[in-house]
Amino acid sequence: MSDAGAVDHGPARTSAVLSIGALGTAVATVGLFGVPLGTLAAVAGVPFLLYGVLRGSRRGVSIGAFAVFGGVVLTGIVGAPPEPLLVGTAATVIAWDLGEQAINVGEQLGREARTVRGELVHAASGTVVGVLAIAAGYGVFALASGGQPLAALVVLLVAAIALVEAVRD
Amino acid sequence: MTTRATHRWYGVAAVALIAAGAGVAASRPALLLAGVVGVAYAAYARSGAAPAVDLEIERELSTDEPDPGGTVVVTLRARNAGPFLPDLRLVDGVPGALSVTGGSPRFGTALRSGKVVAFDYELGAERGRHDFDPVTVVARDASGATEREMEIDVPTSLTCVPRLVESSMRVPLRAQTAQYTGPVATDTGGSGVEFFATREYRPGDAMTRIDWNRLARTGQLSTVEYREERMATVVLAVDARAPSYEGADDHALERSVDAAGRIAASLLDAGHLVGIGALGTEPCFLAPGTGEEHRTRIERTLAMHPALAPTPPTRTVIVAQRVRELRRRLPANAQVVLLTPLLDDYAVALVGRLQASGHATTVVSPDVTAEDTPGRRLAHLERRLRVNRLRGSHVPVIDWEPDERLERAMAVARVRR
Repeated sequence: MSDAGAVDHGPARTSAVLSIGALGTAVATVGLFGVPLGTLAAVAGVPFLLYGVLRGSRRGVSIGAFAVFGGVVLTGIVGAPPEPLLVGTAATVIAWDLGEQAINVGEQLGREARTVRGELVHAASGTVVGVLAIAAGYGVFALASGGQPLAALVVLLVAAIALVEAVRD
Repeated sequence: MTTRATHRWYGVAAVALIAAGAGVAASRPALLLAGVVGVAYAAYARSGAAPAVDLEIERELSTDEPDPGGTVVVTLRARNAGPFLPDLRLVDGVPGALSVTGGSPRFGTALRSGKVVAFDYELGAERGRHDFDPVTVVARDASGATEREMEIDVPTSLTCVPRLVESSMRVPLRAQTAQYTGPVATDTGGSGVEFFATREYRPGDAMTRIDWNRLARTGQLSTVEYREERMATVVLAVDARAPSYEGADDHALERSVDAAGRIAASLLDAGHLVGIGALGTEPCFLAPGTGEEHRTRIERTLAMHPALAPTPPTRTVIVAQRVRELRRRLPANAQVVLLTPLLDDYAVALVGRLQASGHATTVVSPDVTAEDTPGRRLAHLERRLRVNRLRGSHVPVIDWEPDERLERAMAVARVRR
């Protein structure tokens, strides 16, 4: 890519703001259930993601998102209904995706460039995937709550991962 | 055109595995379910292939012949003749010597099939002919897992020719002149307007030049001589070797070319014959001449000749060859005004060689040295020494300091003489 003069290659603002919003949603969902350890882990991830998304550090974004996801898992281990766990996980992945998107848009196009439309479409399509996943997960839970053994769910999940692996081109 | 994986979803499957593992270990079906989200995003990342890109791009300039320092608005318009592009990024190929003064030549959007998108930005116009580079296009699939990069060439160019404006700046010239009547006062008596001397009458002297008063007073025949005024043939030689590209935002070559333009204008307006030469990557010589057409030729040579390009030369300049060519093409009676920043000793040697081959030389030297670091102070002092060395050997040097008007530098140089 040609570089004309000094271009500010900091993270793109729209995706950065949306990423912070998604992370806030994830932390709030975890915090709502008041599992101290889970909330602590989730809150600990926030400054990392903020640093990553504002200063353009992929490592910061990943560490932050991973810590928040850790909080979701801890909350799940202690015990929580599926709704907050599904929403928390999806929101964390969205925060991670948009954080990285902010960084790569910034790298390729810079901060002065008009990029809002492309960023919004990317954010929307990632969010739609999250909503569909939550709906699917909740559907499986509603079906499985009839008393099917945990093993059946595990096999289903492994099968799904295997299927995804198989669709590589 | 290249297609590559961005690896930005690398590790998302871990979300599924960690949630599932922890769910199984702690016997929490609800946590196990959260793994579904991980699976969904892993599938999302794999689903998209790099989109086929079929774009029609146009570039429009508000003007393709701007004035120097003016602004050119560049509008880039892209029509999507292919399928929906969820993440399209365009980077315009701004010409290397120009700088963006407003907006950004980069743009990111989503573009539906058949739709047109446009964006614009501003460029500051600078001397020369500038060709745009191809537009870089990057298209990603919705998840951003794969991207396709290509370049689309949209040939566009803009030329910016500084006009030689009317000028009454007095350029201190050397005494070397042509045989034609013109504006340089010589130290030879003859026909002219200013009184020079009287001498004894010689048969053949024009009757109008006989000093009749003196004949009446003393009875002796004598002839009045006037100071002869001749036309000068001046070649403005611009030193365009690598050192001339030194200097922060306004490098020495820009100032040299600017000075050459103004000197040429004032010399032409005063009735001299003016030519242009350059010591740069390519041979450049415009034989001395006069008249409107020649004025335009000088404008275009100074603005667009590749030897005077505003970006530093990428290959080495064989200076000795350029100097040989210049000396061969200089008319015998031509004097030279050499425009050089005097940043190396070769520039001084060059003046010596020009003088030795019979061309009285004046040096116009834009000062681009600074004094803020020890290294720069040294360069500054070395340049001072070169100026003094030249002046010591009776070569007039017009030392043109930054932020000083050229007219003033000329006036100072005239006083020195």
